[in-house]
Amino acid sequence: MKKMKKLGLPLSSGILVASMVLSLAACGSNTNNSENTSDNAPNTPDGTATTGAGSLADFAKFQGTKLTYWHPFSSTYIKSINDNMVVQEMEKRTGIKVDYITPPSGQESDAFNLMIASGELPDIIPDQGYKGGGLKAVQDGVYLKLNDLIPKYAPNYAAVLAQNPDFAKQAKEDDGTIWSFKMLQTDEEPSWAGPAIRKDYLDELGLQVPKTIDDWTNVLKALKDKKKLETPMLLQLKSKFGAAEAFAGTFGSSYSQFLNKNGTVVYGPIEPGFKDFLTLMNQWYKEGLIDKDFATRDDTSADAQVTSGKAGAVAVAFYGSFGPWATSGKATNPDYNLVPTTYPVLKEGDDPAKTIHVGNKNWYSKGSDIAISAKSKNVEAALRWLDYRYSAEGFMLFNYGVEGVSYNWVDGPVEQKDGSGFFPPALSERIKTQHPEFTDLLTKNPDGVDFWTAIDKYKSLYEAYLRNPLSYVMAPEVYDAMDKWSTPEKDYNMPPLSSTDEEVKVNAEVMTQINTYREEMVYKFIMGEEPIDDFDQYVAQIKKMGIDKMIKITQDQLERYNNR
Amino acid sequence: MIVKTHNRKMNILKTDFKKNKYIYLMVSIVVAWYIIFAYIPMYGVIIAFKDFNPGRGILNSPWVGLDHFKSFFIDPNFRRVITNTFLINIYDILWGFPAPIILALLMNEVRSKIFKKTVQNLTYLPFFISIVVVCGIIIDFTSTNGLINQLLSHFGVEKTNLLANKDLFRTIFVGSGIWQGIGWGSIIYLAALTNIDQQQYEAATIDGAGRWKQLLHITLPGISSTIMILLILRMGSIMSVGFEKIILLYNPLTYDTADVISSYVYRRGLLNADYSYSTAIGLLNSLINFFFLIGANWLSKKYSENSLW
Amino acid sequence: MQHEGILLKPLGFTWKGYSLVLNNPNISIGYYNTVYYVVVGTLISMIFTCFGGYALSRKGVLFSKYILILITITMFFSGGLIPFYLLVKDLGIYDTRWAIILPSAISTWNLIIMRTSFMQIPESLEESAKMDGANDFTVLFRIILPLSMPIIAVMVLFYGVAMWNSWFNAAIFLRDRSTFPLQLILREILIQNDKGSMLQVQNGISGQAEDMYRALIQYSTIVIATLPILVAYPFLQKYFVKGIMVGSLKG
Repeated sequence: MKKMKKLGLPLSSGILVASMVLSLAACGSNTNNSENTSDNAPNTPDGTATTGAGSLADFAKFQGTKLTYWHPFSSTYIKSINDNMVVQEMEKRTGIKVDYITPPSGQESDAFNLMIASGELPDIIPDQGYKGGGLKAVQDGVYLKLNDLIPKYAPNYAAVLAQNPDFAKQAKEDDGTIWSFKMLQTDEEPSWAGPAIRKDYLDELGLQVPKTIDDWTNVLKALKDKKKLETPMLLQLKSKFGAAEAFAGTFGSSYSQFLNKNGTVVYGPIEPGFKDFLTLMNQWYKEGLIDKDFATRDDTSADAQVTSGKAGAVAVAFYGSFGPWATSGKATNPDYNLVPTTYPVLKEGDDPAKTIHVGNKNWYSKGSDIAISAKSKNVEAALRWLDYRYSAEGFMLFNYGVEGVSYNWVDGPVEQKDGSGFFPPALSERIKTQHPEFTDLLTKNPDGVDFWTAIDKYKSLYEAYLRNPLSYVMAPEVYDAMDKWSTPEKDYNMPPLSSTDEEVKVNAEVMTQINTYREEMVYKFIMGEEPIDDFDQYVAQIKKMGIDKMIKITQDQLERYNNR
Repeated sequence: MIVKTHNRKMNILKTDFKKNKYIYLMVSIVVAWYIIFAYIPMYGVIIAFKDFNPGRGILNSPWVGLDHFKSFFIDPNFRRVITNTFLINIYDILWGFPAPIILALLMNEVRSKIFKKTVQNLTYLPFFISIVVVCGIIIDFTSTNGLINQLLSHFGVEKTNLLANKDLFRTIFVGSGIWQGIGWGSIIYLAALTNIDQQQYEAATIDGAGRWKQLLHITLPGISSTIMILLILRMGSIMSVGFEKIILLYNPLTYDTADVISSYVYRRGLLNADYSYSTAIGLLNSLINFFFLIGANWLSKKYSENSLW
Repeated sequence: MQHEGILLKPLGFTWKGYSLVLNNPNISIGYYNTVYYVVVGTLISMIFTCFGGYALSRKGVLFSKYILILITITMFFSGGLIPFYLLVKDLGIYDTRWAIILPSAISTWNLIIMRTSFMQIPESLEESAKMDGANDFTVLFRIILPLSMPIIAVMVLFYGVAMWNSWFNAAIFLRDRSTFPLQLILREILIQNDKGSMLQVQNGISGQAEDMYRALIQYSTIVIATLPILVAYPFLQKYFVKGIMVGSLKG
């Protein structure tokens, strides 16, 4: 019983991810074409700005104001959120003292619901999936509606939204309500997942990097027969990077997603192309070309397969993995060389840019909503404090930290690979000749921690701000991967949609059933326990379980999104 | 007449209270704890009948009646998860429940203290290994090229992924549970064994009873009340299987035998963290569990001396 | 350090995992807090459980049947997380150490076992003591408890281990990081190192080198967390040795 009781308290990070997905799907923002931009606010080297709307001068009256901010936090490097330099610098610059309430990480979702249930709300609340969405929270009197307040107190945020109609579109609800500050990226972030293969093995066998499905079949056969690999290709259906579905995507289908085919919503796993995908996988499985243990492969043992050289290719790799894999892989085999490849195409001569439609399109709004409590007594201070993140100085502070400490401006323009497109207009002249460079505190940390640990102290936490997703130090393979994986020009991925309360309910009821059945059948199809000829029955069963209702709901959501 | 009985009752109460005043003091501390920490918050079960929204609070969330229960009953997976939950528990009671008793009895027969302590320490160690690691080891051992398959292949058995075989899931699940819990579970029986009067064994030896007879006629009866109470309590969780180990071990190929109530509710929760739904299913579970406990208690009371109350 | 799956063929030995975990500034605080919670919590739990177990095991006490039923019910029905949280807030023990100790003071399962064990002690002992003018406290502490050392040891072990392993109440009732128990801090470290996956999903990039040490950290964390309790066990073990029940005392 004890265990059952626990169910009331969903503990997993899985739920967390789900709530993040929810918060991604729930969007809100502003159509106001604010004239009040701060594009011209000059940026001085010490990081302070001169006068102008949305500048530090506005904070004069808030000296000593106290705000409370609920923010999940954990770090293996710093002891408390107050040790973060960005946090300290914000207090220095604005004079606003922020009292951070930090629930332990891993428990964010429960902690969030308990905070909401107790009614004792801090001024600033990063949404963790309010039940029914942000709009509902506004209706329930929990979050503040920000539409009228943003032009008044958040000119920088208003200016960013005004830069591109799509920014505003992705930052508001279907009815136009805006209830949060979002993490915004003013350019398209490169795709971060796709296939990869051992180039050194290919060279040894005298083979080219595969492009078409037939190439892949031949290459995998060679890896199995000539190289005697235990696992020619890892196939992680339950992968942590589940969004990317390289091989299902080749056939215009998807393992689990709804797709937006030129404005029409379809469910990937019942598309005709999915049958071709299953046929191929079944054939590969029979021939021993894909992981025999794909059904039980967990992330740790998948890593071991890659680094020990037992796996020749990875159906869906993720670019953050290249660095650690290479380090471990080279320790046992100096020739280890895993390279990203483009998404496979159907036949020779197909251009992946034109024929592949399931990549990993990233949207301008990355969610991570920060709302303001409807009970807050410091609404203006809270808005201004959040708005600072969207100014040019705020952009530098949150992405690179404090000048002279964690970064310096050095000669040489900001390259596209370093995210030139993500810089705010106020910095557009400067980045033609100079670029920010991280100091040794981050790249060769004196405490001996790596870049990714050190950022806990020197960069912003992951939350809503104007973000440059390329303001990190990355392995060379990563840039290669970004190029190869970002090829699809027209992507079928769904934009960030909003759901109504009713839609959420139907979703939970219908999709749990469908997902359970679909997963079972897909695994059985691949392993040959169900003949592929039964695919039509499988589609019929999913329809019987109510997929049409869900397709209709998703179509409605897409249309509401388009009409925002 | 009524007044008289009333008075008499009062008198009994008074004498009893006087005689047992310290007992009542002790009991009232415990009862107070139960009232405060268990009964006061119990009003929360009403969210099983509501569409709970933390923003509105428990009392202001709208009533939905039996909607959550209905949604569970009409689910095509309903029968399967109920059956699987029940069967896994039955197997666990059949194999997992006696295991620590047998271990304790065996240890009781061992004379060498060093051997006894070593065995005790070794068997109780796995209890402390986190479930994530235990499942990692299981997945590793049962994989196509894992330890078990490598051993079996020497006997000509074809290598397959054992965890992808739905017929083996319950065996693996219950078996690994025994491995992890046998030592820890035996502790309580070892403690109970110490309560048995040594003179009984001496007397039995004089009477010429062998060790087997002593085991049957002295040792087992000596711990039978502990066994019965633990069995009654175990029956009270017959519809419960924790979801952590299940979701770490199962995969879509074994849903047929492995998907239980808690794992299903967990998967549903992934789409929509819903306190009301999980409370409703939890409540249903508890009701069934409670009836099983009452039944087991009644049977035990009827056929043995032992009962919870 | 290379792992071949899990623990099978480690190709080397390294302290890196341990140093990564032990360098965490919160570990020592966590250790201190956990020891505090285990010692104080187990003591309070034992007092409550002994009182309850003794009082409910005496024959002829009125209402004891009903009290037992009420207690058993709580094993099955609870109001869930939210009312519990509000209660702790209302009691004014939120964000104090009491929030960890009091709400989990009694385990009904343990209480029932304790009662069962106390019931097996012959009543004659108690009666003769009462003839000599002993009250129930004296009977409990002077006669019952000394005769029940094995079960006391078991209960201490059960409560202690439960407290040692618990983290959930701390996660929801504590805000001040200087009161966090070890398990909660270790859990955060594990999640932090797994966050790779989560962040990667939203972020595109993350934990490159951290990722490599994830498994290491996992195992190091487990060893660090369970070693002390493994060391403590042999001390309790001696109470489970057959015949400790001081036969002579009975005579």
